[in-house]
Amino acid sequence: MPEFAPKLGKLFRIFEKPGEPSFTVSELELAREIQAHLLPKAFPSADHTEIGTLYQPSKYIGGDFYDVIQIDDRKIAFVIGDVSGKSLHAALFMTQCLTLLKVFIKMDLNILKIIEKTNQMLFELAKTDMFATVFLGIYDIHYHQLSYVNAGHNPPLLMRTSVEIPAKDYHPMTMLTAEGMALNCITHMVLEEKRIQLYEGDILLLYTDGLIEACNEFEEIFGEAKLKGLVTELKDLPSQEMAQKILERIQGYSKSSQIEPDDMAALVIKLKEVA
Amino acid sequence: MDIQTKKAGEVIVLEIGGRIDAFTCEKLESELHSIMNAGKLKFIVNFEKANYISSSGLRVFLGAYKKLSENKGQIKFSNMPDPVLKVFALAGFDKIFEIYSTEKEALEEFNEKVAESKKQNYA
Repeated sequence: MPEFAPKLGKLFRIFEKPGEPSFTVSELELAREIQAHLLPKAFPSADHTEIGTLYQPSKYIGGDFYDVIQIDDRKIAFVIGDVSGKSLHAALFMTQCLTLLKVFIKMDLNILKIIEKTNQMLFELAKTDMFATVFLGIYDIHYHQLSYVNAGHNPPLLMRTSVEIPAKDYHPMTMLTAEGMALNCITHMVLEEKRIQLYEGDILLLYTDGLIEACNEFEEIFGEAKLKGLVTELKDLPSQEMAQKILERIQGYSKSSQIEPDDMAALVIKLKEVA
Repeated sequence: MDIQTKKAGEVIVLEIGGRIDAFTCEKLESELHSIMNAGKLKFIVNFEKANYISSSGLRVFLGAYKKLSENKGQIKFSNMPDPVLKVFALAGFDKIFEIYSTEKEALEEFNEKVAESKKQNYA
């Protein structure tokens, strides 16, 4: 970037209307580039999972992120998160957060340690008013078990579609809740690790709050109940088609709203036949 | 979003109405910083008339909480409608912040702490 560009960038405020956030052109473009680079281009472990993605940033800058990371030949990590704020600072904080998570995930640490160490590092590196909500799940393809922690994020949906599941594990739809809190709020986090058995045909939907908080023209939110209904309705579609349809339906619901929509991101994960 | 400000002794009470989101939170942040910069250290935020808060709104309160904590100040919250309380609880902020059912309870807590502090000074 030419030397004078940052100074020129500061001279132009593209949004003058009250009530709208103010950015410079260069800050907005930089933040968008940072975010575009963060999102994964391909996913691992296609033998065991079929993955679809949904990503729709808000009008200005997105704060949502996700990734799927192969830890070793038997463990895959699923991450989804949401950074507070819409600014260059938020985009940089997102970079710090996701990079730290990926490093600690790749080190194959205990799932609680991954979140705790990420939190500790963010406390040293990041601005004090930034925080991120994160859901992290680690799937063991050998035991077909998902371990997960929830750092203040919307609990993912788990839908069972197989009829051959033992009665004790059967529930058509559940939410993967776990006690926790957002990252970079306090040094000693309250966190809980949970485990759940997964089966062929299970559908996981990891999502950010933009999906359920989309409003219609009457300021009524889409909500968790409608999202559950949508997942049930679309369950037989391939993952990517399902993700696309979810986005289309929510955009259709909110098309006449006067309220600017928040970012939306989701991972649709279908468990394939397990040997 | 609208903000009404009033004083209750040394405590500044902010009554927030409407939506607190990425677009309205700048005004909220500006108001809070302005009052903090004037040296005020005790705040109650009354959400009775608020109907929505996003993560951007939470960020403003987290920033205020941390800044006030550094300066031995405090911020308390009251009268949260369920949709607002749910957002605070989901992010785990109910474990960090003091949230009261009513403004009166929050104010009593401030007054009790002042009385306790005076008692210790005289002891």
